[in-house]
Amino acid sequence: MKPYIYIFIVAIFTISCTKELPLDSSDDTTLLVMNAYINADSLNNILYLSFTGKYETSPVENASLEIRVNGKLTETISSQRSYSSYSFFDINTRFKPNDVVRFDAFTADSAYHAWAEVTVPHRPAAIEKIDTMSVKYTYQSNTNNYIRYKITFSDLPDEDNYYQIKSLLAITNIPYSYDDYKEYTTQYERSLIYHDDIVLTDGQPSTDQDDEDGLLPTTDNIYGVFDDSRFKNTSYTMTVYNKGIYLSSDNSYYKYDDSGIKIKQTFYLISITKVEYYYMKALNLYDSDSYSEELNEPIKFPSNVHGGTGMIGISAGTSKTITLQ
Amino acid sequence: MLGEADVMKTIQLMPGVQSGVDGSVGLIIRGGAPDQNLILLDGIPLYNVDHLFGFFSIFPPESIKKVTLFKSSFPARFGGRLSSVVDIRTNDGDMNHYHGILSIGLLTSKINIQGPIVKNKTAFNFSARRSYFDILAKPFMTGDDKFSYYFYDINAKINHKFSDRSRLFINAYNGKDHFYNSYNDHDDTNEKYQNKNNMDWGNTIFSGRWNYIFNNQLFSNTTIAYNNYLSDIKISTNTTDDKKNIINTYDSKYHSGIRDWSYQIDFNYNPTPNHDIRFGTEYLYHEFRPEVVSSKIANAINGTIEQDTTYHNISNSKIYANEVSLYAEDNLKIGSKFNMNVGLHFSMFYVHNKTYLSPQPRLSARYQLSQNIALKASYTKMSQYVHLLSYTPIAMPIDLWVPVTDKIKPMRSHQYSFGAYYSGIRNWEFSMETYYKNMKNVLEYKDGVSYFGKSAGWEDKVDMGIGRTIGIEFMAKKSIGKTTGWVSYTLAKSERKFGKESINYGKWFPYKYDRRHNVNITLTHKFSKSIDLGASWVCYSGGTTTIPEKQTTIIQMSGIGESTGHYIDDAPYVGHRNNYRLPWTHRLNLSANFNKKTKYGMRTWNVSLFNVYNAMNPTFVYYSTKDDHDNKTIPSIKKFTLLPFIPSVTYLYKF
Repeated sequence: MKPYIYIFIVAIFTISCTKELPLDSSDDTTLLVMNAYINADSLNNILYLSFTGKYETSPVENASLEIRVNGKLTETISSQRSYSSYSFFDINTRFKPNDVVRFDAFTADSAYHAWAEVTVPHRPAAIEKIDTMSVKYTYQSNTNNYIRYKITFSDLPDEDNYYQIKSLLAITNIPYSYDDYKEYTTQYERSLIYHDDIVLTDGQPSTDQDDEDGLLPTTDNIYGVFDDSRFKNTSYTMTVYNKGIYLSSDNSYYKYDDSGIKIKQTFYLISITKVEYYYMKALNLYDSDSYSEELNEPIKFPSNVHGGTGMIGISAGTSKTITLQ
Repeated sequence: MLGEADVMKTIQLMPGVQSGVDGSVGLIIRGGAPDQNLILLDGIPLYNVDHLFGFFSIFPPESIKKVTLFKSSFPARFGGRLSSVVDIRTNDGDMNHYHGILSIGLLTSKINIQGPIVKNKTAFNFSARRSYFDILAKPFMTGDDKFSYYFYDINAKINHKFSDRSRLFINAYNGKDHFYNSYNDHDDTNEKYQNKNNMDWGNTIFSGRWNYIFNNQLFSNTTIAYNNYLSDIKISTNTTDDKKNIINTYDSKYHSGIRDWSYQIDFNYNPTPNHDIRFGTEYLYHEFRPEVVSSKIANAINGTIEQDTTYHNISNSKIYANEVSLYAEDNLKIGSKFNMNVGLHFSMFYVHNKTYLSPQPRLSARYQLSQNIALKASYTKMSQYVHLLSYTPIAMPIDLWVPVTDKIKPMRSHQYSFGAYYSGIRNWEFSMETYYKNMKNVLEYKDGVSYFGKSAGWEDKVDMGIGRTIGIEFMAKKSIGKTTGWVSYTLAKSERKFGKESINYGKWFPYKYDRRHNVNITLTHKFSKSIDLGASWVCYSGGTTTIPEKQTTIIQMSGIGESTGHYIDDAPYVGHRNNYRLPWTHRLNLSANFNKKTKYGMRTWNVSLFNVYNAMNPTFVYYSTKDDHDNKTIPSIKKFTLLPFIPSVTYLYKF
């Protein structure tokens, strides 16, 4: 069921008369759109380029991209294949924290030029520890034994920091009765359940059932982004659970009769830029069930692109892996 | 509307005043926001002033003696809001005779009685109003889905004269909105789901005012008051199996409110006929209780409780704030043609170990140019220490008043106005006023964030900026004769601007309720003692809203590290805030009173026609998309009209 507040909204719109109004946008200008999530630890990053359009976006054929690190040109790239709505560039420059990186995109005829300048954030301090415990937890109306993770890390001192937390689960099946089968590992990016955590819920912890039946709509933190406003210059212990992974009643992972499972859990703590933080917050809202186009004005995505629009994010991360069995 | 005369809607017909959402009682005065109006009930500042999500005010006209609106030239005795003061005084009660009014309408019934308790010594005034949509609808709700809604107001006042010098007034007000909804559902497995929701919100006010005349030059008013605004919401769901065993129960409680205690002493001193000096002080103790939300969840498997936990989801601490103000003003006459009001309002607000001080000079002058022409000019500085966080354009019980903090500074405004007044035509008054107001520290939500009814972290979701409003107002008014009324026209502009890296890239953009043209015509004609007619026509250009201008691409992310994947999707592109101008709103309302004298008083049938020619005015608009014949996605804007033609009839008996 939708949150209670929707009862009023539905009531109001039910008794309203509806009519379509003419939409004559006087703004027919086309803009270059640059988008990228750059991982400073990777040599394979991608920047996407499009044209805005009245009804749909389009790729930018034969465009070029210049990359400057601390004012020095490191790469000039031509756009690769184009898809229906975008072209893209493969970026191979290596970036390191505190680098000032400028991206300049040009169309073939130089009629359009958009640029963005970002500073690579400092890599977060290493995750100090991850404590686990088996606890009873109710999710989607079912109570099961979940592993609760308490992840402790410290804020980077003397600056405003923006972070993202991600989780990767590697499950290795270990057969021991059939020699023919080999050990194999499957990796899953698991969404986290974070209803208890005050930082990930931006000060509004709730329960899964609050989201279903509660008064106020909740915007899911799908991208796991948070800032350091609640633990500035100090350490913080974050509480999360893995979505969809729970223990059987004897607190062991589900086992086949003839196999064992080894689980490795990795948490990534990533420093992101301020604009990327607000962009992902806007995406959380955009992708959320609680966003109502009737009630809420259209979402304006934050942009750091000059001469066009879009978002260039750049990040640096750290990780810690624990073995659960 | 629906036979409910409303003080706030009458105020909206004045030049320079507009409603917020069409048909609501929210006041947009000279380009200010609805939370910038100081609304006083017998001198007590109110926070929640409406019922039914903002479409009716809490002031039944039967209980009201006098309403005074200040849009500029604020006397120094008022402070705390930027844009206006609406000073509402309730009936004192007749010391000699009993009389009253009984009214039965489609939406509410009302009663007002006043008279002496002890003749010439003690009088009372009592008013009550209740809506009865819940009672009328009840017989028709026989299914699994039930709801009810009502609101009520109770005003009581006792006026006691100790002597010719000393008088005591005791006032009480209680008003509430109540909403209830329940829903039952059965599924194939015979599980039964039951959901119940209760919402209550409203004000309770007690005040005592002692009026004492020291001598023919000096008198005082001493007021103590308690004001409590509460919003309580309870949600309860439970799921049972076919044997009525509990499978799951969920109870959630939401609570928020504000409690004010105040003490005020005002002196009026007339040392000479040319000086009317007022001075005094007020102390307000605020207890803000922003949302407290808790939920209790119990789950059972085969009749065994597996979980029974109470969660304190949001437990914001109470915020205590102290507000002190001092003022002095002199209404002085200089010669026979020149009047001036010079004053200073000084306020202090203490919250979270932070003190804000604000000296606010006030100056207004009136010069009688000739027998029929007067000129008036004023300058006022105002400060405001509270903000209203709103979730929707209509008033909701989860709208939250919050004080300034160490991050969010008080709003300030400077207003300059100039007016000319002409009364050279018998029974007619003509006026022209022009104003310019600039505001500092006004709030807007940042790009890409939403309040969504939860106040946690609200300071990070808003930006502080500046605002400016400018306008000119014309009014022609006839107040004597069989036909009375007024015609007014306002030309106005209201804009906001934020930091360069903030909302709208630091460029000026129009305020949501920036309506350039406003025309109001109000007429009353008395045909005879038994029939009078009233008509009002409003017409104003549209406010603004934000719509996407084109399509852009957004980037979404999945995966981690080397296996990170991106999704590029089309999404609406919003270039500028409030970039779409809504269509004009216009509406004609008519009413007729058919009066008849009876043995004990006067009976009146009132017939009202709201929105006579059924103008489809925009209550809300929103951006949407649709597919054309080629399955191409085409953007569109949808307009919702909530208030079409509504006829109503009301029976009124005055005795």
